[in-house]
Amino acid sequence: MTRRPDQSPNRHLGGEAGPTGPEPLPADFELPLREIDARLREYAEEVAVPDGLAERVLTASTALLPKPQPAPRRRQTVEPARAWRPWRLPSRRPWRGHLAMAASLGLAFVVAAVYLSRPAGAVEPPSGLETALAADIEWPLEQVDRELSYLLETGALYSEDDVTGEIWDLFPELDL
Amino acid sequence: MSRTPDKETLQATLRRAAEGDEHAWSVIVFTYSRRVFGLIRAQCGDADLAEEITQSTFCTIVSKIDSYTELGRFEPWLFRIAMNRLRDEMRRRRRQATPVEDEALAGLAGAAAAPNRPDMGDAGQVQALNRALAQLSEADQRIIHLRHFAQLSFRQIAELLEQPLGTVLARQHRALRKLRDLMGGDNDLL
Repeated sequence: MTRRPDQSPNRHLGGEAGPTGPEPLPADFELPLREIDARLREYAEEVAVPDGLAERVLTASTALLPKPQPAPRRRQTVEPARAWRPWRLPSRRPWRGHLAMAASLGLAFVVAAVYLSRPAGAVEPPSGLETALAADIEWPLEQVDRELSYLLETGALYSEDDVTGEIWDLFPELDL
Repeated sequence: MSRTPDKETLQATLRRAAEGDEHAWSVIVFTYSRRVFGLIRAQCGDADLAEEITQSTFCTIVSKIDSYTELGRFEPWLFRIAMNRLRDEMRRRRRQATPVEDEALAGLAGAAAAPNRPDMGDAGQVQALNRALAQLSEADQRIIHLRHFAQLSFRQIAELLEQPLGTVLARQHRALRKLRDLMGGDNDLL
């Protein structure tokens, strides 16, 4: 009984097709089948290929080839011996950088001196409008303000009427 | 016939082609264009269509080569694209065909197993082989074409057809047996 090729434990398999022909048949293919296979191989080799086929294929396809990538430029790196050097202004005239730094320091000194020369707790003089408003405030209003602050902080007020009522109760002499 | 490069050489050549190396790409084209043409010609029997499909296949390959990641599987990939191109073209032609063209296509299908071979010495033998091949099922014919025209190994055929290796071998065995039976009367052929 002839064993089927896929049942053969020692069949020749797994190799690639030969450089000039197909992979050999597994060992358990009978001789007549091998002869037919050889005939098919001759038949395939005899098939005429049009002249210049590969050249035409090449012409049609080469234009689609990925464009060669330019060689990557070397990244500029700081040499280890120079890496610790302090930052320098990118100027070709170093005195300009020094001058700018001196001017910056001088300005900082001037600002600091002005700030320190001011007396502690000094306030800016109020503008004319603010002075006039302050002069108009009558003394009881300071107390009203204090009371209102208390009421607002405690959340006791919910409406304008409440505010008016509370003020009236506290200061009946005010004509609200 | 161009020699098939070994696996490492092929991978290196493909890598260079993917980087835009025209010489590497020409090596690929000269190595495989004949085999792709032979396979398609055997499948459809039309030399002009086979050349058209061959060109289209290599254009597809070159446009995808930089994303090709199936290392070691280039040949199944190449021939699968070629066969898919042919299938799509045949479908397109069928859709556009008039009844008269249908007849022509039927003739074309019959010619598929009989590519012109003016070099073959004995016309009787060629005809007998053609007749026998034409009587095989489409699946059996495909395996013979992939083996002899595309020169794929059984493992590569199994990969391309997405079938178990044992199935491919059994089908090859059965196809050869059927050919032997069909040509039994032609003693001088064997």
